Amino acid sequence: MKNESISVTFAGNPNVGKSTLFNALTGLKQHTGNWCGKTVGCAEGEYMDGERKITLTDLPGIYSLSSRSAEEEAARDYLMSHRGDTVVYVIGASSLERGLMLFLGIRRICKSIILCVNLIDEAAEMGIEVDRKKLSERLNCPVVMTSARNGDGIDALRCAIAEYGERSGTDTSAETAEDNPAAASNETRIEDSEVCRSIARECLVVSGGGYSASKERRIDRIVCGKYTAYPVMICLALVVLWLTVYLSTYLSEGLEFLCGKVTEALYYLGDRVKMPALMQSFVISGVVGTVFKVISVMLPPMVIFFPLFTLLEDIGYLPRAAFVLDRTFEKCGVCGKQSLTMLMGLGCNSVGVVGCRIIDSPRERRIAMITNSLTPCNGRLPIIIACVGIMYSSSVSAGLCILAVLLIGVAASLILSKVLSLTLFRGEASSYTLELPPYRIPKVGEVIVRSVLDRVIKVMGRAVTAATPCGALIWLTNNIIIGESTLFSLLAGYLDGAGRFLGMDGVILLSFILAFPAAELMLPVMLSSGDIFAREAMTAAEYFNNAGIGKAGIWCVMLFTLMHFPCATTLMTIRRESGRWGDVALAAVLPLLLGVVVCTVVGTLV
Amino acid sequence: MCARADIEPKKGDKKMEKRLSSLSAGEVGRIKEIHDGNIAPRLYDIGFSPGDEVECVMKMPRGGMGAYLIKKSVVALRAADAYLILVGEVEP
Repeated sequence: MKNESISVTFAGNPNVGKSTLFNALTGLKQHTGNWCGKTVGCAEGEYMDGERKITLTDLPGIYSLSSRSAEEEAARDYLMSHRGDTVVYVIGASSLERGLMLFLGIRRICKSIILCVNLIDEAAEMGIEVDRKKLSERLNCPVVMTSARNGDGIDALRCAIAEYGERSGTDTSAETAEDNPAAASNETRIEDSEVCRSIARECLVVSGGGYSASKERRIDRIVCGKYTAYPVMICLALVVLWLTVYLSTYLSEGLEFLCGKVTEALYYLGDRVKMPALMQSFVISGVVGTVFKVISVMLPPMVIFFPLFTLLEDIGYLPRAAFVLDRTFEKCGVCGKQSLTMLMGLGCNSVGVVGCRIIDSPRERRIAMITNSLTPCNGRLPIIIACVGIMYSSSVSAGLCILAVLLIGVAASLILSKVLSLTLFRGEASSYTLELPPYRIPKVGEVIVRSVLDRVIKVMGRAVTAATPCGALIWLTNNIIIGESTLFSLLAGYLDGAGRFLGMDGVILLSFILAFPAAELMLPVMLSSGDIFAREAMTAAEYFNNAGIGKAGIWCVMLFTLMHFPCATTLMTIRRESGRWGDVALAAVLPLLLGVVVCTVVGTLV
Repeated sequence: MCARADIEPKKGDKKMEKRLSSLSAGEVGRIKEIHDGNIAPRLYDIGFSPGDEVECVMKMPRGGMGAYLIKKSVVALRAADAYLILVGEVEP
């Protein structure tokens, strides 16, 4: 059986570097991060070992096989149906004792296990060493030591897989394994933990103090300190936002210039093939122009925001933010991890909605998805920034004003979460455990490549599909002429009453509606009164001046930007993630309702 | 959720039982028992088990989460969940 392929399964606790190891073996770039529960589905990859094909499956990180969460269930089902496969069980050298618990559980299902002790470099820094020989003897299975980040021990792991995997293919003893490992009682757990403790005592050489003596404790004292935690958090958020906004203006200008050149080239090409003028206008200005507009507004902040977010993730800050904020969220009937999905929402709400997978309780996950759009994404932030720019000229007061708007968004999400958890989504406050991983120094280059590859490209793809029909629609409203005026101005006229009622006007309201597929289109649509392809567009200040909209009106625009229906992409993502149209409806209607109420109050009272 | 009243320590009991949730930052204890509750199995899985030494590393104010050093990892628990864990003194 020399030419046969070998299937190998990767299993282990969360955050022990399984995915990094998996990537090192296969070269596949799977998203890894320094927090628990990053791998939600199972990833697959393969590599060639001489003539043989080795197929690897990366299971989500779990603590047990008792199927209390979707990940545990997925992992357990996979292991049960692939009992003959070789399992590479990854364990963190510094958390060996805990990792052995699941090892014992998996050994009840699968007979062929290779134990891979990862993160040996990190453990060595903490003064922990693992006695490989003794561990191998004690557990009666091959043990490989690796440090996936530095690439140490990867070859040894390859050898072990090749050697051991060959023998295991025909192992029938797996049939006799226990049938229901899920039924493990608390007594078994206590027994197992005693076994693990004695193994750890024999096989670990501890010379340092671990966490207790480490720098981490000092860092944690500041990051999660009574008085310092919130300032640290706000500062980090502001730095991330400021860098995103500041750097993306330059990138945006460059992209716009480039897109302009391409458009010119397209017109030239259109003339050459004798395309009718109306057709040219529709395709090039309408569809292509809108897509370009979306790309040049949306791409730059994403390219900057997501690597920064990934950086925070890799360092290990994010779970600490959830730790600090949990009490506030608990009071609102939801869990602290929602703060992370909200932060993700700053980059893109649809990414934030996908991120809600990290929340264990289904009830809390649905609330987090529904309220996610109350954090202004990169598409809507420019509108708020433009509005703030008109009212405040100094950058300090403008910055504070943006912060205020963001905090209003946070408050709105918390209030809505509270209301939802008291009415439609009633239930117990969930119990949950949150691991605070060691701080790790991120690999900056890798971070940029990874986050651009797996977040930005995906989101861009979705945005472009949404922008194409939207471009066609906007073009049509501008070019269908009924009587004397275009469809756009006609519609704007109809909506004017409603718009004025909300402290704005018809054009602004129509812009919000037309930008439903992609929120970043709102500003260009408004400034050109529908004709976003016109060369000469007004500035936001000029527009508000002409339309007679004062300070209160500008506030209404900002608040409505913050609180209205989320974009089509986000709604589709909610539909996919929750599987319920009801949640989609709530996610669309509730923020809109909130926005209408707030704008009416501000518009009429101020 | 289990009723809190029946696991409340009796007054005047000489060996006052301590809960993990009552440890403040820097205090160390040894786990005696984990009360049954929805989350008990999860607590075992993540590393809390009778006989283990546990240290409260950080505690957020106003009933917030506590972070506990258990089996060389730091795990945060809500106060209500930490309440299920009984701890005793660490013998020197």
